[in-house]
Amino acid sequence: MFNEDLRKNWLDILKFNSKVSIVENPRILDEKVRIPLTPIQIDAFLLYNLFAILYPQFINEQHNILDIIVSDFDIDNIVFGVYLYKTNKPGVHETVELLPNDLVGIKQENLEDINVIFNKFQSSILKDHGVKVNSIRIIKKRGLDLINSHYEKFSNSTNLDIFRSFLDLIQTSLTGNLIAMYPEPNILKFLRDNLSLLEDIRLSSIFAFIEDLIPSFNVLVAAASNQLSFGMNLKKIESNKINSDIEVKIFPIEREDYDLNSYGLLTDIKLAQQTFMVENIYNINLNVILKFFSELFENDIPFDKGILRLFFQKFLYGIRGHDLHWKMYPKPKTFNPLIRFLIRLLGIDLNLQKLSHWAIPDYIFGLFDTFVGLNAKILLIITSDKKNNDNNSQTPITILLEIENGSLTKVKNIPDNQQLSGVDHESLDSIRFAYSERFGFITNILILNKNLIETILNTFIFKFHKISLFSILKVLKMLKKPQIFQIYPEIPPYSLLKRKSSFIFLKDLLKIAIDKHIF
Amino acid sequence: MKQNSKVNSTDVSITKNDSPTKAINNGIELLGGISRFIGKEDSIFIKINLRAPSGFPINVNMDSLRTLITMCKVAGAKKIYVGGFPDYGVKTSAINDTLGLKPYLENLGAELISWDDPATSHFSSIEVNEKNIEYSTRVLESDKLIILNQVSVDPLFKCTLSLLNCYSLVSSKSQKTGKIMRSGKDYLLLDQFRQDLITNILDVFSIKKPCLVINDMFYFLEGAGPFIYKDSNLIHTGLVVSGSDAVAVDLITLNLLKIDLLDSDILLEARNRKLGITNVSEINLKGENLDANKIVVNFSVDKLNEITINNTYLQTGRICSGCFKEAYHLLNFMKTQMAKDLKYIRNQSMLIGENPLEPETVENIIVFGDCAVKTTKNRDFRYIQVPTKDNIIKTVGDKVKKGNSSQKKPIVKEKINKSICELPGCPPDMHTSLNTILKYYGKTQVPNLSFYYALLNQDINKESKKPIKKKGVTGDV
Repeated sequence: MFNEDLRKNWLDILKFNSKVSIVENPRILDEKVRIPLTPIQIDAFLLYNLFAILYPQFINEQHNILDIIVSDFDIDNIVFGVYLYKTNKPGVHETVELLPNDLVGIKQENLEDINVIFNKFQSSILKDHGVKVNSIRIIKKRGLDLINSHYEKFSNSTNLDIFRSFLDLIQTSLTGNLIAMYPEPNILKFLRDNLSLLEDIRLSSIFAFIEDLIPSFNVLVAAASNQLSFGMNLKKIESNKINSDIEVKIFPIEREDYDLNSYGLLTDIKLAQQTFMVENIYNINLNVILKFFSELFENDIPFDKGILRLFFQKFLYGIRGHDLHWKMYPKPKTFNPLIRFLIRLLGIDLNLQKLSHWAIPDYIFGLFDTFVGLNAKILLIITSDKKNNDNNSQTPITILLEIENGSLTKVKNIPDNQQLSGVDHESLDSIRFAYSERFGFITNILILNKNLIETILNTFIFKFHKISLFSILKVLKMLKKPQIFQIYPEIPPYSLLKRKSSFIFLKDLLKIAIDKHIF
Repeated sequence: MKQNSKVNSTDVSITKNDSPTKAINNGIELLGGISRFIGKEDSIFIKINLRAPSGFPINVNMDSLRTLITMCKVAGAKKIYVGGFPDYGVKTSAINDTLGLKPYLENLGAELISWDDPATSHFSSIEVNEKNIEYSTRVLESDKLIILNQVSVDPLFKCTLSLLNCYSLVSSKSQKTGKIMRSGKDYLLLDQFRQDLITNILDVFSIKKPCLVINDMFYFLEGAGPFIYKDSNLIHTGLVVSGSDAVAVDLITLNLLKIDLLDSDILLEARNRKLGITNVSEINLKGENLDANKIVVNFSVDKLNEITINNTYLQTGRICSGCFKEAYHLLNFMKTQMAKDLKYIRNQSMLIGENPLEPETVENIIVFGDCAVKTTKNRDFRYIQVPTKDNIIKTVGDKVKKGNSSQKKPIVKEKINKSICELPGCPPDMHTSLNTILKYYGKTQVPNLSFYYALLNQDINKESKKPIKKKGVTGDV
């Protein structure tokens, strides 16, 4: 029933986990396993720790887990396999015990009431084995088949292909209800509800689209805390535009080698950069990230307007918390007081550590609600340069974004074959009218070139350490070029941007975005 | 009054659906179909909400408008005009630029009427109740008038009724309700502004009654409205109320929102003037059950003090509806768009209405409206006590003379308080008020307002290019 590779790796993990409690110093075991569902090799003790921290935080904090494999078809008893994991530490799977399939008979219709199934299994196992199961995971056979076929790709695929396959697996499993858990963890509901917003859009396609835009890089993301510190080295190797791959290495960061400061960040980040031979190092406080995501997953989708603003605030607060919640090396140029002082002489206050996290979301959402509306349908057309020889990438990507009461409620891909024929594609009026006839009134059409997205990603993410007045002005200038960015009909903030000089506009914008006082 | 439709005017339909198109369609079908309202070769004027260069629901629901235009075309309408005067003197062209209405309507087979273009718009002077009202000739000459009204909360009339929608058939200038003092009558106590406003609204309504009225409450803006503010919330009710009698349609709309006729002074006045049916039992309801579909919504605040704004202390005196409405919009605007500005201003007091209480501090006092300006002219806050600087030699000499060690009281001088921003007008104009506040604080102190004002300036006021002065500013209206 299980792919051999999957089974062997999983048993290796269990074997290692069971050794941890009986060995004095588990670090010296120095064993390698693979992260389940990925080809990434990892130190087995690091994986043990990741499970011990992440599983209780995001999945279930109780002991003893039961896996039930069920058929997709309606037969007398749909149970194909029952696996009991007794745990000494919540989330850390140590032993597996195969239980009889007829322990509790389930029919397809019973899957509607997963709590009833849970109660039956819990009482039956408690009675027969004296173990109280506190969570169950039900996996449909089709889900298992998908996992097996995903594993089969490992031997002859690039990491990028495997990652796309992983995203497809997640999307298919969640939208097709191939996996269920009881009690249902917030993360599962969050992911499923988010995926339900997507219509005809694959996560793997979004990833492929973004991956195509990002330049080659070699970065280390170092997550540190007093409980656990580890690094993730991400390296994009680009031999040419078509053949590229991403290397992922995950390894422990030993406390003996790297001290942490009082904020739980690496004291000598420069040393880490030199040791791991990376271009950039992003050091993040693990606890802060875990708390952020844990709170994020608790919310219903689509987000309530107020909640969305709150998380936007938290995100901005995180950005301004350089040296507090995160830090990077090389340090962004704008964080240098001397450079900031020189820019300040021009009347521009580019102090990202003073982002008005408390005011920006309200202002942005207020402007959006006012000028676009509480309900809106926005047609997003992503174009690419005609000079690009790849015919496929020249076809514009058309996406419809539906907004209700200020929250995004649907993201719909409009495939090539559904795009309108007989419409004058040069005339935005006729495009808007034609799409309005099919999908309801299109509030705005947003046309943006891939180059713009690439520049924004580079400026604000991949080359964040080089962010400067000029790089931001470059983005603003690009926004003014109709071949790169267009909004139809033009909303007043965009008209203002076009009318004003980029420098003055940025100056005005930064007065809104940056706190006034330097204390 | 010309007979506008073949439909029994007592018929009102309530429809509920998952799609606004179907809700409107079904409503009209229940009334006997669109051909009962519109004849072949009729020219139609559809009056919509066209308030500001903003998105839905400040303006009409475009899907509802599309449905209505399509139905009119199917009924054989020769010409379909769409329009309405925007609020606050905004030009239709500005709204068209933001919404791209004109080309969209042309594609649908309708024409957007821009009344602010003097070359194409003609107005006739109509005398109603000894008043001359400038009314669009186009509307008068159209065979049929249809009101498509987006229902939202309204600070004066609870919700935006179709009667209020009709009022924007005349320009903002004509809509301005002047302060007419009647001898022996207390203007504020009787809220004469409101009475005059209602009279004016009904006067405009009575010039040409619509043949079909659709109160579109498929989406309803609750909390703060009818513009979009921080406290606004859009709810999906799926309801549409249609009929040929605007008063009856408004009455049923209010009933759906659990508001009785007696709570609506505009409908009571419409009853006095016999402008429509104001008795529910006389209305022939079709479609959904009225009682079963009543909804609970959050109406806008009744008292200005309920609008809580950071660092702003509000003192209100007796206030007319005109100042209430404008202050309501100004306060909601501040709450929505000036959060950061107010954080740095730290202390701001607003005095609104006649004889407001003294402000909490003598800093940043905004005096709103003629009544407030007039009745606070000699108040204490208008002056501040400033200690005068002593002669240094004298001070040192006094210290040397230890014998005279008794503490001397510092000499203070009274000066005019320049930290006052007056917003005159009855009621003050919103745009002028924002401009005056911006001038008072200076754009470095209120960057959010400055940016927003620049956005508004693109559409409304293009002549304000004068350098901005700081402090002690009086707004000119």
